[in-house]
Amino acid sequence: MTFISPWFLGGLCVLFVLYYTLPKRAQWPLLLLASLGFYALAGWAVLAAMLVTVAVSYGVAMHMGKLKIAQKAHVAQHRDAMTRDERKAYNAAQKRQQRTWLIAGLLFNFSLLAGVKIAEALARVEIIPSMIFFVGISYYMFRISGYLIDVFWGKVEVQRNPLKLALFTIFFPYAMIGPISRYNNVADSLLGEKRMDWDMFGRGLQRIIWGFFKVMIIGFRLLLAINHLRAYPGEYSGMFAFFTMLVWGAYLYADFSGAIDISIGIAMCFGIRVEENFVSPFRARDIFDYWRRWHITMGTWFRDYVFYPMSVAKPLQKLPTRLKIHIATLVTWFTTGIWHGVAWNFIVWGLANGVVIMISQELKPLYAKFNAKFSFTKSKAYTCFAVLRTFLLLTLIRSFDIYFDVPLTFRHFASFITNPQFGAFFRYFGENDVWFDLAPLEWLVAGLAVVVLIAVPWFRREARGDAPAKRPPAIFWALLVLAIFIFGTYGLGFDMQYFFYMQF
Amino acid sequence: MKRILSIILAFVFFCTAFWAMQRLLMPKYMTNPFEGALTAEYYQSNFAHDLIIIGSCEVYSNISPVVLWEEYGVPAFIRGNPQQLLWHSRAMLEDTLRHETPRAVLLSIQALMYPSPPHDGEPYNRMVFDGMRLSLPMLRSVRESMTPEESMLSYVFPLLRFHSRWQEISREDFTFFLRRAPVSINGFVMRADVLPVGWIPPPAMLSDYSFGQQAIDALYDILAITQEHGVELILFKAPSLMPHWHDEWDAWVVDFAARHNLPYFNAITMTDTIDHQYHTFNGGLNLNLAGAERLTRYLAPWLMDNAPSLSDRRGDPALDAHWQQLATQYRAWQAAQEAEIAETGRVYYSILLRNALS
Amino acid sequence: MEKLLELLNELYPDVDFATYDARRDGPLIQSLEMVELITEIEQRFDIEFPPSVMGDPEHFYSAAAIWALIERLEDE
Repeated sequence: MTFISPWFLGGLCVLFVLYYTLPKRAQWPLLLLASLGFYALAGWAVLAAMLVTVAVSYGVAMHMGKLKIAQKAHVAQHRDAMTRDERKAYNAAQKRQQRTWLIAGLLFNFSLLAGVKIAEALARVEIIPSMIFFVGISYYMFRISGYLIDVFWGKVEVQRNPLKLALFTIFFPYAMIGPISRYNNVADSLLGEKRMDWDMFGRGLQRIIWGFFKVMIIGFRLLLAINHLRAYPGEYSGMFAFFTMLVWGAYLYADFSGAIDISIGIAMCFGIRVEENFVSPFRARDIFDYWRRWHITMGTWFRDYVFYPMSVAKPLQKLPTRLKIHIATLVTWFTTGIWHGVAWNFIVWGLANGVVIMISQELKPLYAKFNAKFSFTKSKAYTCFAVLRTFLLLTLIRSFDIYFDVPLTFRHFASFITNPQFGAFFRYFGENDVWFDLAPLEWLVAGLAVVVLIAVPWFRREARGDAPAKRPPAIFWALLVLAIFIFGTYGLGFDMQYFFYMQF
Repeated sequence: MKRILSIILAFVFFCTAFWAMQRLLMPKYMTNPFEGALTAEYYQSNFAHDLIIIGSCEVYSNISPVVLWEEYGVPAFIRGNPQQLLWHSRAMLEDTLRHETPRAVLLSIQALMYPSPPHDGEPYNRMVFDGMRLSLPMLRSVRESMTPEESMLSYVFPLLRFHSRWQEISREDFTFFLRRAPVSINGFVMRADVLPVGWIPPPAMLSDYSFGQQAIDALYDILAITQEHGVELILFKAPSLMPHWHDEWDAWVVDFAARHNLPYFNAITMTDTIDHQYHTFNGGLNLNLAGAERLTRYLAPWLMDNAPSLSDRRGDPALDAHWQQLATQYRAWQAAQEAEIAETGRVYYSILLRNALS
Repeated sequence: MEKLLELLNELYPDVDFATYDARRDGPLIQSLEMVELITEIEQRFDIEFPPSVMGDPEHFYSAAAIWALIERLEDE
C-alpha cells in the first residue's frame, strides 16, 4: 500500500476524525491500530517479523534498564566506600554486561530482518514499486536499534509499555520511507495527548499537498523517462548518460523528498512533529554540507551510532587521529551502502561517498588557505560555482543506483570523455517527436513544476526551522491540488488512438 | 474570520474549477467514437416511451424508432452502446427505470456470448458509463465490468481518467463544453451508405457452447427487474452475419424464453427480407438505414402480435408533436447523408458531425 | 577550564572561546573535526568520552558547555 491510493487517503480522513473526537487517551492506541493495519496490508511476514523485533527489543531494553537501576543504586549506596578507580572498574564491568545484552538484541534483530529479506527474495512475493519502498521495510530497524543503543547509553528512559514501543517503531506515516525518527525526539509528541491545533493541522495538510505535487507531477513523470533511458543503457552513453544522471537526480529528489513531505505532513496533522529529512540539498556547497541536507536522519543516524562510536573505540585509540577518522569514515559509508542493499552498486556508492569525503577532508586546509588568499572566493559567483561543483559530483556518485550495474556506470563515466556524442544528443531532440518516452509537453510540465519547486520558498524555510510568518494564500493550495489532479501522472493514460482503431 | 473566508472561497473556487476542468477534459464523443455520446442522449428525451430497446450495435443501428412510431404508433427509445455487455444492459435498464416505466423492453441477447469483461474492455466500459447519471446500480455494474487497471473512482470523477487529455484539447472540447449535439435519433444511429458483405470468417467449432455465468446472472437479473416493475420482457437477436450466432446458443435462448414465457424474435433467419448486399454499411455486421427500416417493418407487426402491452399510441397530441419533430430531424439527416453518398460514395464522420451540429 | 581554553585556541586560533556560542555564531566544527577535538581532550584530561554524548550538540555549543561535560565525565 502506498500513499498514492484513494483507500489510503480515505482511511486517513476517517482516522483524523476519530483521532480528534475519541477521548485523548485513545489517541496513541488508535495510531498503533492504524499502523498495524497499514503494515498488515503491506504483508503479514513483515508485520510478524517487526512485532517479534519489538517484543525482543522491549525485553532487552527492560533488562538493560533494570541493570542500570541496580548499578546506580549500588554506586549510590557504596559511594563513600569505593575509591574512584574501584567505582570505575565496577561501572565498566556493569557496562560490559549491558553491552552483551545490547549486542545480543541487535544481532537477533538483524538476523531476523536478513531472514525475512532472504525468504522474500526466494519467494519473490514482494513487488517493488520504487526503490524507496524497497529500502523502506528496514527503516524500522534503524529506529528500534537506535532506541536500544540509546537505552544502553542511558540517553533515554526505558519505555515500559511494549505497545508504546511498538507504536514508536511502526508509526505508519514514517514507516515506509522515513524520516528515521529518534526515540528521544518524537516519543513525547507521539505518545502524548494532543488537542486539535488547527494551525498545525493546516500546515500538515499543506505539506501533504506539497509532497503529492513533487511525487506525482515531477517524480512519476520523470520515472517514465528514466525507465526508458535505463532500458537501453548501451545506446544512451556519453551525453545521453549524463542527461540520464541529471534526470535521475531530479526524480530521486522529487520522489523521495515528496514522500517525506507527505510523511511529515501526516504526522503534523496528528499533532506530531517528526524530524526533517531534506533541506534544499542541491544548494550544498560541499559534500559535507550535502549530507547535512540530503536524507538527514540517515546521515545523523550513521554518524551517531556508527561513526562516533567507532572513532572513540578502544582498538583504534592507538592510531594517529587522522588515520582513525579515515578508517571510521570508510567503515561508516561502507555500512551505509550495504544497508541499502547487498549489491555492488550500493557498496560502490557508499565507498565513493567515503572516499570523496576523505579527500575533501584532507584538502580542507588547502581550501582554507586558498579562500583566505583570494577575495573572489567570497563572491556570489564563487558560491554558485561551489554549489554547481558539488551538484555535479553528487550526480555522478548517485548514478550508481540508476543501472544497478557498476562496470556499466564506470563505462558511462569514461564515455563522457571518449565518446560524448554531443551532436547525436542535440540532434535527438530535433529528430524525435517523443523524447525518451515523454512528449515535449510532458517535459515542459515537469520543467515548470521544477521551477515552482525552486521558486516557492515557504517549505524550504519551514524545513530549515524558521517557519515563515506569511503563509501562501488558500487559493495557492486550491491551484496546486487542481494541478496535481490534471498534471499528475496516475491512472490510465488517455489514448485517442486506442479508441480510433477499435472495431465495434 | 478573514482566514476562514479565504479558505471557503478557495474551496468554492476549487470545486468550480474541478468541475470545469472535468467538463473540458472529458471526451465529448462528438466525432469518432461518437457512440460514446449515446448514453447521455437518453436524458434529453421526453421519458415517455412504451418500448425501451436495449443492446449493442445490434440494436442501435438496426431498428428505426421513427418507422416504429409513424407506422405502428409505438414510442420507443434505443439504449445501446458498442459492445454493450449484458451487465451493461442491466445498468441501462435500471437507469431507465429511475426515469420512467416503459410497457415493454426489447433486449438483444447477443451479448450472452461474452462470458466476462474482456481485458481490453476499458473503452467500451467508458462509452457505456460516460454520460450515465450516477447511481448505485450504475456503480455496481461498473464494478462488474471494470478491467483490473480501472478504478471505480474514475467513474465518479471522470477527471481522474481523462486528466492526461490536457495535451489534446481541441476545439471540439470547447464547442461542446456545456451542451452536446445529438448523434442519434432516440438512440438510433443512422448510416445510409452501403458496404456490402464480403468475406465472412467460417464459424469456429467451440468445445463448449454454454454461456458465461456472469452473463447468465445478468440476464436473470434483468428478468427479475422487469417482473418487479411489471415490464414485459422480449428477447431479440439481430440479423448480423458476424460474429456467428451458433445454433446451440440459440437453442439455449429458445429454451430460456419458453421456460419464462418470454417472446423471442430471432431475425437471423430473415435472409429473404434482409439482403446483406444492400442492407449493411459495414459488411454484414450491422444494418444501414434501408436495412433498419426493413427490419423494423418486419419486427413491428410481430411485436404488436406477441407483446400485449404494446398498442398504437398515435393520436395522442403531445406524442404526435414530439415525434413529428424527431421525424423531421430524421429526414434531414437522411437527406444530408444521401447527398454526401452521391458525392463521395460513403458517409464519413464529417457528415455525422454535421448531423450532430444540425 | 584554562587547560581547555588553551587546547581550543591551539586547534582554532582565530576564535575567541571566551564568548563563542555555536547557537549564535554558527557551527564551528562538523563530525570529522569533532573526533579530532575529542581525541585531544581524552588525551589531555585522561577521561573517556562515551560516544553517546558526541551526537548531542548541546554539549558542544561553547567552551563552558564542553567544560561542564568534562567535569561530569571526570566524576563518573
